[in-house]
Amino acid sequence: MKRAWITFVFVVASVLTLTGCGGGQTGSGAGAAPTRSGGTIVVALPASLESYDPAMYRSRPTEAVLANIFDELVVRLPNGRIVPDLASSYQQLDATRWRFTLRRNVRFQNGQLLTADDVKFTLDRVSQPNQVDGKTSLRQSLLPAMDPATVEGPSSLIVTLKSPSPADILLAGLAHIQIVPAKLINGEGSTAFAAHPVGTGPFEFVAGQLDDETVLQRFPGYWGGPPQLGVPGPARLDRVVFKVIPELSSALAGLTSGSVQIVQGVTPDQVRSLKANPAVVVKSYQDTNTVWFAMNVAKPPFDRVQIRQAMNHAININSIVNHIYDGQAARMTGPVPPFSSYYDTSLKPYSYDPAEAKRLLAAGGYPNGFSLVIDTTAPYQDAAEAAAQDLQKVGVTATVRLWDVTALRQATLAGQRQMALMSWGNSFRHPFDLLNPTLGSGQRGNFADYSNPQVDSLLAAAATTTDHAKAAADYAKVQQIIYQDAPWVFGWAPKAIEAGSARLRGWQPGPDGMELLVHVSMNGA
Amino acid sequence: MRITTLGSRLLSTLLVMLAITIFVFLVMRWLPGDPVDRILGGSGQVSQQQLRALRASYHLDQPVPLQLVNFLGDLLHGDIGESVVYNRPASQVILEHLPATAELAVAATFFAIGVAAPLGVAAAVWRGSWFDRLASAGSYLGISMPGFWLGIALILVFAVHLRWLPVGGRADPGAEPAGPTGFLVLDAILHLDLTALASALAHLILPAVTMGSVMLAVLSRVLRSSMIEELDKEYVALALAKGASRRRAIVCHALRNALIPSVTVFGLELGTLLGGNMVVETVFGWPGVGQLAVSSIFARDYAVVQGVVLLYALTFAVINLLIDISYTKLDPRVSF
Amino acid sequence: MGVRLKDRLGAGPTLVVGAVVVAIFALDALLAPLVAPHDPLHGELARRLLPPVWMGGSADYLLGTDGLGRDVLSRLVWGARVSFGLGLAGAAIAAGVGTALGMVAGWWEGWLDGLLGRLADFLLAFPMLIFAIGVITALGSGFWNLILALSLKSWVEFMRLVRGQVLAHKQLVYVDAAHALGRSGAGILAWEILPNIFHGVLVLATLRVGYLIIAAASLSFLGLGVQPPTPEWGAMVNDGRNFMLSAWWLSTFPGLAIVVLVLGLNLLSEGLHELLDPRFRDPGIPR
Repeated sequence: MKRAWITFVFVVASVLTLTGCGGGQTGSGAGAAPTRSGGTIVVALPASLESYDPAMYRSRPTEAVLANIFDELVVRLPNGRIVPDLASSYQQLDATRWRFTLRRNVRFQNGQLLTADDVKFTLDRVSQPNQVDGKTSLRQSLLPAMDPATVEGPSSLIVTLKSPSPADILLAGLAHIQIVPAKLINGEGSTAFAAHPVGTGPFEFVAGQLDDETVLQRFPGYWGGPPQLGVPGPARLDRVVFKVIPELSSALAGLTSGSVQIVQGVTPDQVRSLKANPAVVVKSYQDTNTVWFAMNVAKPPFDRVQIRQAMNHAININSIVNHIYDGQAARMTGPVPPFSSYYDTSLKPYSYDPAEAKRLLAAGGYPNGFSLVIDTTAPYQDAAEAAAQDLQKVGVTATVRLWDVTALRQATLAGQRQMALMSWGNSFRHPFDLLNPTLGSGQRGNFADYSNPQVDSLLAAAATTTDHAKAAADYAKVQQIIYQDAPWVFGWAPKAIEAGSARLRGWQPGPDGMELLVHVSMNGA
Repeated sequence: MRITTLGSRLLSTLLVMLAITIFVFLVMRWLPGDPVDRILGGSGQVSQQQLRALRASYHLDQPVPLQLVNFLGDLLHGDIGESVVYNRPASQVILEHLPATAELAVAATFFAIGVAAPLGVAAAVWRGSWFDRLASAGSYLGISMPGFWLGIALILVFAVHLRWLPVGGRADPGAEPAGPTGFLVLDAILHLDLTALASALAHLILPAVTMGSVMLAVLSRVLRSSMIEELDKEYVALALAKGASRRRAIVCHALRNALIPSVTVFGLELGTLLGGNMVVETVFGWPGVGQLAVSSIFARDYAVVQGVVLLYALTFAVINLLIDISYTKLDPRVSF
Repeated sequence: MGVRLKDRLGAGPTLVVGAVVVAIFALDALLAPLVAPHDPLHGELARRLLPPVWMGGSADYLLGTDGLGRDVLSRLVWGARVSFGLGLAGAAIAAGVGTALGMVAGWWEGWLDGLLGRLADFLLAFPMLIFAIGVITALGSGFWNLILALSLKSWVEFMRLVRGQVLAHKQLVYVDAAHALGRSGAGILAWEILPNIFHGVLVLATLRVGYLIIAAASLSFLGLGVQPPTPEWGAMVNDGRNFMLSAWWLSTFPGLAIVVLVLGLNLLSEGLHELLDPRFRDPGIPR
């Protein structure tokens, strides 16, 4: 009956909703959907979850689980494109105001209909200070600064930004904000909600312990999902178990023995032996992390640009990519990774050229090299040691020191390190959340202590303009400056590798390790 | 006399606990970086203003002495603080992990005592035999083996190559019975769930063997030497002469007395077992207190680390007390 | 425990076997530059993860190569220097500090003794692995940081041992005689008592070397060990863990090296104990 006033932008979606429209049914097994094939799969996660409350986490494993319980206003497809999800459409009204129109007939797993009040509650809970039991949401910084949202009607609301912001930054952030039910949280409080989360996603929460396992079951009343994801109706699987298995070898042994079906965080070394196993499929996709050597530009020897350029010629990045990553990484030529749509294709990577490196070292006043400590964290130990070996060849005596990541970030930001092999995420796939924090003066990820007023103003301009062409030009300029100035040895962007059972159907690992399982089924289950 | 001794022991234990609490509090604050930095991690654009606000909402902007005073004040009310990572009371988080650790410790102890007792007694009775020498060599090997390596070796052989036993974790995914005790073996029995029971037992074997091996080696050696001492004493000969069977003489007379030194060693080993389980729990992905402690240090989850250290110290104190009490039970001559 | 000595271990070869094993490792550590076929620090990525020679590897790299193409055998050989060195240095510091404090506490007793006793209670009840992780997290990985983290607790045992012995020896005739000769307290401690109790310290120290090697390796295993690329056996086991399914030998051999050396040290300690037991040399000590 409600079908009568469905006015979705996507016609297909309305048809799909029919199958998922178990109406207001809640709980387990109430409505048998025609497309189900049943079965349980186990997904091995490399690290513990942080919370079941979508406002109180930052880590990827947490999002991998929550993205199956909750939906967002917009969703990023595995190919990187952002499409409407719980929003049926959105519209920019002026420089700072946006209207979001919601899909109708979407129900939470407790049976309540999704309304604009829920979305307002979610956005305010994240964007406004001290909203989660008196604490500020850990995800506040994913959204541009905004006023409390205004509800226009049951399925329409206005979002007002405090200052103009490019569309792609706002949408990239919204793709990470899971929509929660306002009434439920207002009634039972955030603590109770975090113990038993309820969303609109394809799977509902059954039980879980954050650092052990989380059990989800199929939500028969799922609205169907955005058509671009190719999802016909509710999930196929009966149950999904996310199991935290920090030891990769344990997880892989589970995969080969059949007790685990999907393993995240596979290292390149494992790929060859896994591919030899017919019961296993390996999928790799370009991840959004970037890895680079930050050089402290405020102190000798890296206060000289020749020395920094020499490092770029001396470290054989291609060799690291080919051997240590077994080719499972994309080389960076400048500060923006190749997968970004803002990547400046005119830049050519620094060549591996020890002779040129020696010439630059001499030109910069260090003809006999110097001694150097490369500080890094355990995941990049091998790469750092390979780089140290390369540096020996140009007369730089390099050793490697390992730290826990928090300690190293702190010390590097305090200017206590010469060269640090660090990583920075770029889940927005937009220079905004990569360049601003890592190259803006005094920012949280500026490990090179780089400060360039011109870069600062270009970054600020690009982050506030709504003119895409101008932003692209600004970012291109920044890339050229940074390429020349070389505060980093430009590194690589690793691919993410996952291994799964060959019996899986429809399995396509999502971006940022998001494991969207709605269209996955098990052969022969 | 006994009361005052006990009283002063308790007082000094309390003082030691207080010192440990303050010490671990300061050590954690001394580590570079704070929990907010850790949680935000290496991604995202966060303005300095947002960062300050976040820190303030976790009270991390207060000076350390004030934080310490607040912490000690809360501690008096039995509140060890809030886990920043899990957004819940740290005591809850630790209690959730306790059953896993306790279950593993119990299993390791059963394994160690179960093997060490007959081994030690037999080696003493047949001293000098090839069996004795073999047992002795084995016990030397046991104390020379780093736990993490033994764990890896066992995983390689029994889990990866033979595939007899699981690689890690407490249970097959999804096979964990829900409550009520948190001890999976007990829960499975209570729920009459044979699959879960089999799964829980299978997962326990390798970690328990790894953890129990050192205790097994030490216990069997101590038991052997104290048994030898007792067997040489006159009362055993007397018991035999009175017509007691040899078995009765060994078990009822000699073993009872030989147990006293073993209990001390057992207690000390149990302490190491609980304090040293971080490595074994890490190797086997065992979701216990040890693994929680390690990950909480890296996460700068101050309250959880403080709570775990307090728990360890408390356990240590209780074990020492129990050792002393068990003396009086086993040997009527000792009283305290 | 008044166990008859000969019964302790079926007697005999303990000392010899232990001494030989330890001597072999000591020689290996001293002569590492001559023994190791390759540079332990340098590798070529192009020949990474070669299997041992009997599994189809190259005769140049008998035990294969690691993830950075370095020779495993050479790293094992050089690793003896690091691991054994860690154990020796740690035990020497612990024995030195513990013995000195133990002598002071046992000889003068009083408030200092009480203070040290409480400190010992405190340290024994503190889970040291947690503290060690804290120290390494704050100061970073490295040989001396590792030793610092490990020594903090290990001196306690030496202090307790020495204190007890000093208390016992204080009442013996030879100490009274020295007093009568007008020697100072410090002189008596250093020249009369120490030589008489030294064997106990030596036995314990030998035992501690092995214990510290394992403790250091455990920390390395948790990723908190020496500075890479330094070859340390625990760190090698940890590195090899990533290749557990594809290259089992990487963590197996360094682990075996730890087991054999520590076994040797334990046997040596037991053998020394048999050889030097005070009840043979000083039957007069009250027990």
